[in-house]
Amino acid sequence: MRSLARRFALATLACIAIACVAGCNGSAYFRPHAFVPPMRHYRLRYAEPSARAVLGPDWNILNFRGEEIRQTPDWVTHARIDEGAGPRARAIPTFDLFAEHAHDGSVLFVMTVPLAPTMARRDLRIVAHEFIDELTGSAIAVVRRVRGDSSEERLVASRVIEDTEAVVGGADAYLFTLSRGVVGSASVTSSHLSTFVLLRPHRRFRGGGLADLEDGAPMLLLIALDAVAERYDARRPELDALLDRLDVRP
Amino acid sequence: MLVILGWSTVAQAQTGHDLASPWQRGHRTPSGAAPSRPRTDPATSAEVQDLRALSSAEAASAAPRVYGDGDGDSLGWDDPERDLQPMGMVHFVLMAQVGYLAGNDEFAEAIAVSGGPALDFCLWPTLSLHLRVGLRVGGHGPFGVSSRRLSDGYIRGTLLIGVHAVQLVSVRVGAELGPEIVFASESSSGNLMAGGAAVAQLGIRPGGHFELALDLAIDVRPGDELTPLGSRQYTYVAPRVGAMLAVTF
Repeated sequence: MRSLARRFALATLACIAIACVAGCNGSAYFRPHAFVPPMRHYRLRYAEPSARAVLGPDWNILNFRGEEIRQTPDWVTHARIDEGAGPRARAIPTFDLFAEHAHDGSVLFVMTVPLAPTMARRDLRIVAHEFIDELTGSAIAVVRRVRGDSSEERLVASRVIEDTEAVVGGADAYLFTLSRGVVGSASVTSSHLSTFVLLRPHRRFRGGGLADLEDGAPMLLLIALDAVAERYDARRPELDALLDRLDVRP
Repeated sequence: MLVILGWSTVAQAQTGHDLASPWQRGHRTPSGAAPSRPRTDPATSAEVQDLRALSSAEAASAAPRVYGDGDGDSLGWDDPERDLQPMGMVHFVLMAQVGYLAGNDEFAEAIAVSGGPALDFCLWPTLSLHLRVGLRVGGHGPFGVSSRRLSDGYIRGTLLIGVHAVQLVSVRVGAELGPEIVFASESSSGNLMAGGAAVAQLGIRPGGHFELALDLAIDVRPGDELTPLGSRQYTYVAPRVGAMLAVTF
């Protein structure tokens, strides 16, 4: 009986070892050729395939912990999404990808945004303009800079310096760049440049599975770069390269 | 109103807490380092004036700007490792198995046929680590004519933990346990005994929802045989090798 137990234990251990080795097969998101979001409605091919790096080595991806997307409250959005059967509460990752540049603090992010059914066929240009209005208000936004317990308000002027239709990864998109700066007594000093790309994927949002051609909610992809003005020219090619490597799933 | 922001706004109203992006909330990473400040803060001041130098219409280009290096054209969208995973956290599985059990001095070699339903509970989606809980109904029948002939029928509960990995591979280990009715060659009635097995399954999943697997087990076979002195009971460990077909829904 002892021999039987020993054989059984050895066989079980061997099988568990095989399972563990076979199970460690890499990230569900950082796939062999590209970063793929949970719904797989697009992919970002790697700048450095051998390193599985979506961005260069100076970028830190903050919304991932190791190879797992962060699910902590700070990184999750709760929303009621109508995927065809009425609105349902869902908790979804706020960002597909959120990266910060180690040296200058530039931010580059990609987020998938489910839309209300009425927005399914809204012209991207209109959406973009509404977005610009929403971002800039009457063009001067009050930025609340919260530092600890204190807060300070600054008036920030924004202006559109780039505004164009685009095709990204085969899908319709709209690109615009805002210059924003602090409003002083006599001048407006540009401090940040922000480029936004609104993209309409071919597939529809499904919070519990893969994006689908027929079922689910309409959605947009928002890709954004924000950098301090003096570093924007260095970062913008990285955004353009990322857009060149973005494939939208047919 | 733009639903990108409206999405958060509406949800915020419904859930009663701030749903803005992390950097819009003074988000801090677990390490304490704060990501960059928001640079897309919605306007909240009504008294400011529009300083946009260019209207959207003025700035819009006529021809769309086209991005794409074309390198993605050669890459398909299939990802077998992920495509072969049925979506969802719980899957219904139907299994059918045929196996061979080795014999010994007291028991004849036997054919084992079984089948039954199971549920796969996904424990860790990215690894496709799952727990399979199921029932297996089957029986053993001996080869040919032998004084050691023994047959039985059984129903066993199965508990297996496994992964779907390296594109097509599935690996599971676990155990079975349940009652068996044993029919000895010289016995006119069956005896109820308990049987079980330690099980390992190594499979390929050619169609995602279909799986062909090699079922390896150390089967604990109960035995019962009539002798001139009365009934004898055996417990014998027999290696089992079998083929399994599973259909996952």
